[in-house]
Amino acid sequence: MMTLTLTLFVFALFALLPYAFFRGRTMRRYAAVDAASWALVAALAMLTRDASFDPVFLLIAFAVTKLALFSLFLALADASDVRWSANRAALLALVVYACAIPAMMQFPIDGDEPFYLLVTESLVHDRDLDLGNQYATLAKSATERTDLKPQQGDPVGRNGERYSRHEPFLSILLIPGYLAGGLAGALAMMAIFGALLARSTVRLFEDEGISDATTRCLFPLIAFGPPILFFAVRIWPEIPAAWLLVEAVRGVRQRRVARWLPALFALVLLKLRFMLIAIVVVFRALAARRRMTAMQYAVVALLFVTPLAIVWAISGSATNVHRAGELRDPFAIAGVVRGLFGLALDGAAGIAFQAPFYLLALFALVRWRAMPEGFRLGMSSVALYILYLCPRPEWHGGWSPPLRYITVAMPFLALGCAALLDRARAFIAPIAIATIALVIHGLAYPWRLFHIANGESPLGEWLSIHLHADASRLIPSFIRLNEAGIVASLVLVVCIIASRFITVPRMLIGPALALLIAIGIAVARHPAQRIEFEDAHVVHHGGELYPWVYEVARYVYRGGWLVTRGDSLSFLARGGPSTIEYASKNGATISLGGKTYALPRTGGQFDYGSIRIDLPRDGRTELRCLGGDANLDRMVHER
Amino acid sequence: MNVILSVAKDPGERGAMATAARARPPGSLATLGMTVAWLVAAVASAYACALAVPAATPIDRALPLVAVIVTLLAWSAESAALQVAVPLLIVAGIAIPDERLRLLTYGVIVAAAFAGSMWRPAATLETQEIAIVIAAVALLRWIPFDSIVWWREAIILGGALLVLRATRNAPAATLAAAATPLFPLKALAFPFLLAALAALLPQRFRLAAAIVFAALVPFARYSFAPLLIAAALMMLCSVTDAPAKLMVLLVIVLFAWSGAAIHAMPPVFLAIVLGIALVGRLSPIVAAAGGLALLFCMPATTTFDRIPVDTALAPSQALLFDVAPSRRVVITASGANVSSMRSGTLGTIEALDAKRNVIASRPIAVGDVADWGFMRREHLFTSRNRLPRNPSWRLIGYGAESWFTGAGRITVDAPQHIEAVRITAAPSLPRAASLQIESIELPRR
Repeated sequence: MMTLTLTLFVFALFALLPYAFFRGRTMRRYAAVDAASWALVAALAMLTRDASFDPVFLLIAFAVTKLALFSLFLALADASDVRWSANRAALLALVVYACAIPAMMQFPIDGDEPFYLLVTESLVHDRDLDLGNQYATLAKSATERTDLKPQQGDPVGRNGERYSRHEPFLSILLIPGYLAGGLAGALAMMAIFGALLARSTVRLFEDEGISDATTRCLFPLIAFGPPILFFAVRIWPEIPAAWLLVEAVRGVRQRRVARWLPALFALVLLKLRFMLIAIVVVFRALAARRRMTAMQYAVVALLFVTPLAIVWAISGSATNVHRAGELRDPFAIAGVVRGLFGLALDGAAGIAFQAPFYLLALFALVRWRAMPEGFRLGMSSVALYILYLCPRPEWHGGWSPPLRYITVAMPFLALGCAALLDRARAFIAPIAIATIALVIHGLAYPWRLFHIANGESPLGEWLSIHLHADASRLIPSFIRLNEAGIVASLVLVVCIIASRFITVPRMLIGPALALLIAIGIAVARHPAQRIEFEDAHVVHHGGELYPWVYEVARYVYRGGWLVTRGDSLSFLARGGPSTIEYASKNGATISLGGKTYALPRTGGQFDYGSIRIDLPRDGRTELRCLGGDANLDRMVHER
Repeated sequence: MNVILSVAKDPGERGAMATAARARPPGSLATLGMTVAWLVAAVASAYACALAVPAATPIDRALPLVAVIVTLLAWSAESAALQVAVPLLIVAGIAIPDERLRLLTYGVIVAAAFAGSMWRPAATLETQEIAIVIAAVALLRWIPFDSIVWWREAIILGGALLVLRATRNAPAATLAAAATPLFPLKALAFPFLLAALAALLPQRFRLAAAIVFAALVPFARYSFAPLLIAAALMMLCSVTDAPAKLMVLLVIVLFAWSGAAIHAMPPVFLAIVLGIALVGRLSPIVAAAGGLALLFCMPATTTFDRIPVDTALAPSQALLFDVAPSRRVVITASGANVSSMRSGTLGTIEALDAKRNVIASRPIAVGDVADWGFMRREHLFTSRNRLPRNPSWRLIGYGAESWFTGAGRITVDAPQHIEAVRITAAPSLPRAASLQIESIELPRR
């Protein structure tokens, strides 16, 4: 009944939307296409009655397809047939986010989200920030998470108070929503911030001279595509931060202190890390002014001191969980390069696979001088922040939806895309389709937005399971650096440079993409040179993942699959000599390819050893543990 | 054809490529480069489909042709965006294991490409329309390859292009070609007759002609229905071509079973087209209300457990079998060698109680069931049967060779529990004919 009610609600809203946006011929055409889409889905449902599907997935897929159709009309309709303004864009965003909330609530909130909500509950019920009693009464919590424990590194007060490591400002912002509707209300508050971001983004585009037609064309990809859609209906500070940063940049551009100063003040209250952005924005704002009064200096000083003081008051340290040594991080050049390319290309956490629309912005970066001033100001504001983010081990966001840390920069990347649209129009269709697929996937299976960062990606895992072969190795990874990652980095650099001089014939883009997919599939069906035993293409009969899924910062561990007597693994392998890398406290005996091998003891949990083996032929191979126990890390073929 | 080729539509609707194409004189190096690039695109698309998609069905094996068709549409519409259909086809081919859903997904993707092409006028409009007709004919009539009778198909394509010349409307020409039966030979005259009609009939009579053709559908021989509907929609194109376009798109969605779709479904399609046209005049609220009602009513239909019988009864022969007690049974049956029967009784179903008393009975008439293979393309034109009132919708074959069997589902309801069923073939059946009982279905408990 709940699903039925929500479905009716969502489709009723979708039926009403055209009245707010279309008129005349476009309205009539949309109505006909809408009817055709209903007829089509009814026919498909009837013709495939015998097939077994997840009904929630199908409903979400249909709803997203309808939203895509609506967006197509919004983009292609004559200007005279469309009612368009920043406020209407915000209304549209609010409706879509409201529809997405029930989809996100299919599963409990995760990552940092429940801790923000716990702080809200503590503020509302106890008027304090001590979460001790919240942890003791989790059954009553709106988080619906009874398994919560204080996070590693959370501050402890003098009298044993349990504080959250997270800054409390977002939790304070959630209070009205929480009071109105618990978790759903808190998510609705986030959706309101999402709608405000949508409005500000459209205004930013207007300020920077982007035409209405271009804005209408790109708006759905920005507001209803990842990562903004996913963060707008989840509890993370990224969306309010993006909104505040857009307002701050608009304020600086318009030289309106009353706009940028409060926005920046709120931004740094959300997260200490945003101070790296605020420093640049303030510098750029002050550089544009000839003279500063003492009062103005004092206000700016207050901007930086206040969040530090709040954090100091809570945790006893002005930098909270951060250390002074982190200031040296950008000098680790290899880490910076890896993080930068990872943010661009990583299969699990990079722009290319998780929000492909913003890939165009990378090409905008090399046309710096031709880009709008708002883009340059916005991107230069986040440059220092990104420079400090890239070398960190959790540059990919850790246990969160993808692109968490750079969501704050998305409105400016979108502005770059908009400025580049005329040159990149041929790429919009494939990008739009990829975006639709990502949105359907993220809304239908919200828990899959959280990836364990093991070097695979949702796409690679799905293909691996589907093809019974290692497809993940063909998806670039910078978490567990692979050859595809290196090749993709080189290709990206070459493409960015070549784009200055060469224009790809538009008719070759679709076929090139098709060829890339086809060749990838054909190559994936052959055994890989290296087999990671915990990967999705390995069929596991017994044993367990190491380290376990919810291990804090598990990406810093060398992963593997724990086997004991009787457990077996099946995978595609190449014939000939190979090396198995493993760790075993007590030693183990395995059978592989018809032969038995003894794995000698390697010492402690983190002491890895290796053993040479020989496989008789290419093809599916079974590895069985005959005795003892081992953490099998990987098998590397020598040919 | 040259006269048609000189017509062009509003330049404001054309894309950047069209502008570039106008700027290049024909035969220039740049034009040659573009042509080569399109050829490379077609070859690459076809190769990618052949490489990636497993050849599970004739439709999967024909994907390279479909990729070339998509490229042809993209070239004619001067829209590279349409080519995104090719990677989508590959993804669908890899990702969807359920055969029926996969083939339907191909249909939806290709129909979207056709829609994009039809609603996007190019610089050289007539080239685009010729390309649409050729692409649609290839898609609907040339798959699977091994069933093509080339010289007959060439005649049909020629007829379709003549219709295009006479009507200047690609959907009308496509429908004319799609509806033309491959057998017998005389049926190949259909598109030429339509072309002549379109050329000779004055504009002011065309709407009336469309109404007359549509009104004849319920009274005409069943196999003539697609021809009449194609003729009606062609005549209607003088007023609006939206219904013809919608009809073409509906058929293309089902291109994996184009033969069956074209010969069995036109009345259904016509109803859908009229519904969509009506809603287009009303509002999205009506569409959503209707769609939601349709979607949520569907699971309410009763599901049945099917017990295969697969027995043929000669005249006067009877078959008795026990069933689990139920107030309703559904018999799926068809005739053999009865395709020439316009009416008549093929047999009787009797529902019996535990003491073998007849508690309900009903005849099996032509109309309840039909000849099992009357919709084969070799037989349809001469057959006097029509699709059963409640067809089993069992599909045989793929593409242009596909057809629905003539099996129909006959429901027998009784006031008390049915314990056994006796089916008797009519003594009046022709000697070579028989009554085929395919299965018996009982409501799932």
